[in-house]
Amino acid sequence: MGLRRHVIGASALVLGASVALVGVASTSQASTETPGSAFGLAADGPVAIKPVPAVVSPGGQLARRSLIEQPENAIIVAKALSVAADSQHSQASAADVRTLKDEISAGAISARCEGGQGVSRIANARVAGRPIESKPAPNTTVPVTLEKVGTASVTFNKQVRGADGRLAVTGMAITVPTPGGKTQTIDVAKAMCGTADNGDTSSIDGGVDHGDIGSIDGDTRSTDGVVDDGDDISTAVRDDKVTKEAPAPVPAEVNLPVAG
Amino acid sequence: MSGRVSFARISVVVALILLATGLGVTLAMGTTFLPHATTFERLQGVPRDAHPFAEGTGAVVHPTSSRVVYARPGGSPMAVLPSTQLGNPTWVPVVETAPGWVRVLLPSRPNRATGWISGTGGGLQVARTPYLIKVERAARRLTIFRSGRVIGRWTVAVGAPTTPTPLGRTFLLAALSKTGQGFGSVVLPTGTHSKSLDTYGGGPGTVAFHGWPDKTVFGKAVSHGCVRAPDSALSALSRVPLGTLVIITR
Repeated sequence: MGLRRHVIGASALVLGASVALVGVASTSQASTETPGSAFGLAADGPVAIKPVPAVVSPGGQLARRSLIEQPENAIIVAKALSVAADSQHSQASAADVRTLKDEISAGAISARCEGGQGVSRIANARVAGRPIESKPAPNTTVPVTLEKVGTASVTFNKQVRGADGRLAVTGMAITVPTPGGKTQTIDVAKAMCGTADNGDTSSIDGGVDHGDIGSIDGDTRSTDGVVDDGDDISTAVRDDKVTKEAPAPVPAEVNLPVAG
Repeated sequence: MSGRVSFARISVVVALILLATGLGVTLAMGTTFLPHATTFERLQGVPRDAHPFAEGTGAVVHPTSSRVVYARPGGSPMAVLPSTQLGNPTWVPVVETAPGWVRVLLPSRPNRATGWISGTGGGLQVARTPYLIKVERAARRLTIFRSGRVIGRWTVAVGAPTTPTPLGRTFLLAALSKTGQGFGSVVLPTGTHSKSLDTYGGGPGTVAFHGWPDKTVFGKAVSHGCVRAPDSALSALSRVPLGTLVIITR
């Protein structure tokens, strides 16, 4: 009981400090009706975990939720899951995260989304024994070779901007291939905020690729009719058995200065 | 038992306080991160395209999530291929296969960069493009083929002698409708880059197909490496699937 009080107290300290910070930052942002949202942990694939705890700011009001420990599952341990969101800001954090047989661990992970801008912080994280920087650049990806499984990828500070301008910031996103052909994903500390007004899909600043610009949860552009059944694609290509025609492109409103 | 709980409690509280205050200890010594294979990157140690004028397999693949790229099948990871490029879904051409693996052209420097990605385990869509695009520099000619038949041919502007359009095969990387350079309604970046301009206009020197307001440039070698094309050519190009090979010859 004492432990719970301390964890909740610490989480409130984090959220209180963050909300105070974003409150100051929000004065220069355009107002918006789109609520922020956040969750602490979610997984999809052979092991599915619905987002917990999850929060959506009701009517722009500040909302918070906390969870001492995630529901028992086969792939990940995480504690002190806390989320908060209001009209323009959202934040998620987790502590004592361990997954994939402890090949990936972190003392704490947080993601914060403010007015369409994102930041993540990582404390005491290790991937296959290698230490991870506490302030990783957006979309910092580290491969992990898992025996009998294949190569998983771990992305820290994953930042994905949707076609509507909303930004999704995930402290740690893991993708694991599985023998059945499905992909197992694990997202820890995900925060979403912003609107088309304060998001910017029209330019890529400073030559930095923000990764998955154009989609929040996978591509929003249709690729119907192409093969993705987990079979060995190299065989189909080698035997010239790829018959589905690739889709025509849909121009994106992105500014890339080209050579001219 | 109580001592262990106390230690765990303290660890959690300290970690959360670090996050709250924005403090953190940099622990990155010795860590190597994989670069993303995008038009903005220069990749190290990548294998080059061994057949830069071949017409390829016609197969293109799309990673539905970020995918690790290797220098050879089962070798060392060297990059990550993201699922999108410039707001478009990533489609890259397959130029070679090995059991369980496909070798693809990459959109990063150096030109003709390739890499191997796993062809198993799902998360990779494969399709066929019946199109092929050829640019003949000396003839200033752009030709689009579909299933081996010419569907359009245009006189275009190519790179000036000091800023030539790079030779070899590359691919359509993206379709952009808002570029801010006055190059027409659509710009089609490719996976190759100017060899003489490291940057241009704040971008990474990406070679693209685009329009030009002065029609007198067509038929001349005057550009900074891009292929300036008439509107009808751009209209036809904008219907060609991403990942389609672009072969640039003398």
